[in-house]
Amino acid sequence: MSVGAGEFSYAAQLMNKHNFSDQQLQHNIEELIDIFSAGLEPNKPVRLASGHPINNFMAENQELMKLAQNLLGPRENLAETYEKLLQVNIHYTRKESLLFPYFERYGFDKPSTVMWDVHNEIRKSVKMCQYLLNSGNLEELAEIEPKMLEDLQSMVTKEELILFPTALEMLSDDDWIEISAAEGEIGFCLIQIPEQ
Amino acid sequence: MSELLNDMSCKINTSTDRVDCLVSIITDFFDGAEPSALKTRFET
Repeated sequence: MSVGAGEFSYAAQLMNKHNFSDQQLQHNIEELIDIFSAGLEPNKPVRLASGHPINNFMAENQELMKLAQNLLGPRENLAETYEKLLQVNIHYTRKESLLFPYFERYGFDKPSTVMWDVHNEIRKSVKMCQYLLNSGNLEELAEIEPKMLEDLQSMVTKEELILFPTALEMLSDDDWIEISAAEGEIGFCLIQIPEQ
Repeated sequence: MSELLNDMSCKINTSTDRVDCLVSIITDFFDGAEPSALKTRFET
């Protein structure tokens, strides 16, 4: 059986009616995605207008993954890499401030209740890693960095497999115009200001 | 909330059968079913 990202999101949203908590969903979301991974329809290539908010999020993810690859591989310019990685805060802030309110408007509150906490954990661990690097505590850095990278990469997967396709299905053209108009105020993570 | 859920289902292209299947598997997962068995159940 194949299912769409929107259907997965809708099923997740329905779990409160079955007396399962957001915390249960949050702690198990990756395992659930894994159960359905073979049936999740691959994202249909969508041609989005230049500067479309989803294009911007995806471009930022590419840059974030380059930084993650550096930490996993050559580990060059670590101080600069961590300085740049702090910009993940801007990516998450745009999601929380611009995307999530539209989801909530249409009754989909799981990104706010489930994903937001994970954003905060990643923000905190990136800052902690940077602090440990700058203070020369490389042993402790080596202990916590793998989990931070795993969470960062996992969030990109959740965004690209579930969240963004669901957003493209749910939000109207007018919604996207409003979001696009407000993006500049928050700013962009690791990419130039996109041309509209 | 039910009105909002109706609104969400109007915004996305859903099949009741597929959503019911997903909900059933997720429910069984939270009730302690083995993930690998659920994966097989979903894929067959």
